[in-house]
Formats: sequence, structure tokens, C-alpha cells
Amino acid sequence: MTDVLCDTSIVLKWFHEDGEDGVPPARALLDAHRDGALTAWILELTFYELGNVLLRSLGWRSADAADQLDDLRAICPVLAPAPDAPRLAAELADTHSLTFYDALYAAAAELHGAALATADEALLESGLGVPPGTLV
Amino acid sequence: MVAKVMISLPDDVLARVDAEARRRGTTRSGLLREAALRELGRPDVSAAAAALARSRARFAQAGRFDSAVLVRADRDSR
Repeated sequence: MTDVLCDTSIVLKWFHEDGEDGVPPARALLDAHRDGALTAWILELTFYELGNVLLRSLGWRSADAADQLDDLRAICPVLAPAPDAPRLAAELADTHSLTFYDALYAAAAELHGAALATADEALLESGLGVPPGTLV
Repeated sequence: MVAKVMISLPDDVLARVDAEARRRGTTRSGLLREAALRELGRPDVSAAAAALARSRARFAQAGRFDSAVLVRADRDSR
């Protein structure tokens, strides 16, 4: 079975449509997870990033943001990065000129033997992430 | 709290578990914990569907934006 680590740019497309590129393949990935064709994972980092977006970028009330984060936990299992993930992330961040946050997704995916699904241009251009349409 | 449990596995399965744990830089317990989470993360289909429906209802009024742009701006601002 394929393991796919989804970053926050993909997770948001599971919920939001207006103005989004690439909603159908992102949601197809979640459907495949539901059907057991693959396992979609997120990181704890995803909760922090989503919380930031909800509170700071979108101005949600704290209670709504908290409810949303609770719901995310019911949708998708959380992958604990391997112990070496921070070390690999540091190397990847340096090699590919990425933020450590970007690189941690890539490192966690690589060490887990998972693909990294993302809509983020920096991760896609680095070759460390792939668009969800290539996985489903 | 973490419980210690005893389980029975055929030798060849245990060997594969250990080899995969080494490959991922984790432990036997870590690998089996993730495998359990993977299985437990999927069966409750109705809870996941309800959570997804609530999520989409919340985001229906969130306005027009592309998530990749917002996430990128957030990562770069930290």
C-alpha cells in the first residue's frame, strides 16, 4: 500500500474550493485514503500551520479554529517523523534553499518511505514533493 | 501513559518488521505503533465523513484564496 504524506496546502484543498487550483486531485487522494487504496498522513506540524492560517490569515474565531483542528485529527492519521528527520531536514533545507518547515515534510516522507503530496511551488520545484494528481 | 504489550509474530514477519524499522530509522515499537495508527485511522469512516462535512461547511464562507499561497506566506513569515 502506498503511503502519502500530505502537507497543509493539500489538506486545505480537502475543505476549501473558492479560488483553489487542483482541488479534484487533492480530494481524490483523500477519497483513496478513505477507500483504503493508500494511506494519507499528516504531521503535527500541519496543525500548527493550519492553525496559523485560520487565525492569522483568515481571521477565524479561536473556537472555530480549534473545532477545525479537532476535525482534521478525525480525518487523517498523524505521522511521527523518524528520529533522524530533523537532521535530514536541515540538510535538505540547506541543499534546496527551503525553510526548515518545508524540509521537515520532505525528510519525514523520505524516512517513512512515503511520497510527499504538495501544492507548494518551492517543494515541487525542489523535486522533493509531487502534485497529488501523480499519485491517484 | 504507554503500555507495554506482548504479541506473537512469525519469525519471518518479525524479521521484516525489524528490517523496515532500521530502514526508516525507527524502532520495532515505533514501526508497529505507526502500523496500528494506520489501521485505526481508517476504520471509523463515519466519524471521518462527519468531520469532513463539518470542515467543508466551515470553509464554505471562508472566501476566495488559494491555499498554497497562504501556506507559503505563512512559512516564509516565520
